[in-house]
Amino acid sequence: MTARNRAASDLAAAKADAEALVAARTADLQKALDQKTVLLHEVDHRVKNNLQLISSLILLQSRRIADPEIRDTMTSMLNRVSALATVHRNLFQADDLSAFDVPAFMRDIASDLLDASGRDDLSVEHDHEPAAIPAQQASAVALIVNELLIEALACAPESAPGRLRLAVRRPDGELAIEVDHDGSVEPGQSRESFGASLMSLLTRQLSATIERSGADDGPRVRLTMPVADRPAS
Amino acid sequence: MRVLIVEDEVLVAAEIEFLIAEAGLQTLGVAISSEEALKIVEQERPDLVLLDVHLADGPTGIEIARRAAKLQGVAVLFMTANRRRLPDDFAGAIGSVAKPYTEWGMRGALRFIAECLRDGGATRPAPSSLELSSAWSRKWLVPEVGHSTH
Repeated sequence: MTARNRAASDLAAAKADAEALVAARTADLQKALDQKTVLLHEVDHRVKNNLQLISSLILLQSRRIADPEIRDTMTSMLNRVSALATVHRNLFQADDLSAFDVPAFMRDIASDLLDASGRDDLSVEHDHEPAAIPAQQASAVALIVNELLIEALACAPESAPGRLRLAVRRPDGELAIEVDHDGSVEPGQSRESFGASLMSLLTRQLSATIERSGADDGPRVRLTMPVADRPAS
Repeated sequence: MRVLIVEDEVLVAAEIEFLIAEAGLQTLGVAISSEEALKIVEQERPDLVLLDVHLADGPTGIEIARRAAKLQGVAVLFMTANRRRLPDDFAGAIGSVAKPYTEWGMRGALRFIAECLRDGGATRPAPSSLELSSAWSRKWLVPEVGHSTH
């Protein structure tokens, strides 16, 4: 073998070694990633099952409560837990774990609360732009929306069929959610005081503002909050 | 209409019993393992099986669904926190309700399924809490939901 041939064969051997090393390292990394993914799904699964358990516990106990006032309090807590459950059910369903789909959530929670209200004379109009926000903000937004919808449903006059309009807008750097209805009750009048302080705490957490206006065709509430345009992963 | 609950969390099962009664259905029993479930399915032939994927003896729900689907008159509905585990054909089941479901989400799904089983088809779109398999959706001629989105 000439010196030149030997050099070429050494080079080929070194290249093959390097490729084998890279392949082994890639396989290790892939294995580690797969294990992390399995773990993530396991944690997700446990969070969801625990939320289910919490809802079932509250419901089981509230069925045994005779005092209507205490039962109403339990129902409000159940609604809040259900709002959080709806967030978690929707998170992780998409491939992008870091983004929360606000319009999909609005549809789910509105249909739930409307069923719970027993008001089949009310119609809900959804008018949404595609709007994703970082998952970290999802729970706080969900709890505020829950309070706003319960308030709107409570204000809808029982005497006439009503209409509830929900709108989501997502201009750059911002999320806006509007709830308006053709009820005639003064905005804020029927607020349960815990619900009101919950909203005030959560709007502070989100640096959000809530504006209430009495449009001609009924009261309107508008939540606006700053949102990072690229959800941090 | 007789319903078997297959769920290893007994508190969740206890609450579902109330929802079943409210929907005008009758609970046949609660099974927490696949062995118990299969015994009741094969001996009692429930009209509907509400089935968790993860049971006391592991992720055995899918096998139960496949066996139940072969029996005449036994319909299965999954309730699962692990939607990704379900095969594309839902193992012959009607579909699934994702956990954590809400009280009204499960109530709506039960009412819809009870109507369809009774009438042999759907007269309205499925509630959003219920994801139907394409086979059952065709079988029941379930109309699509219209959304007013822009």
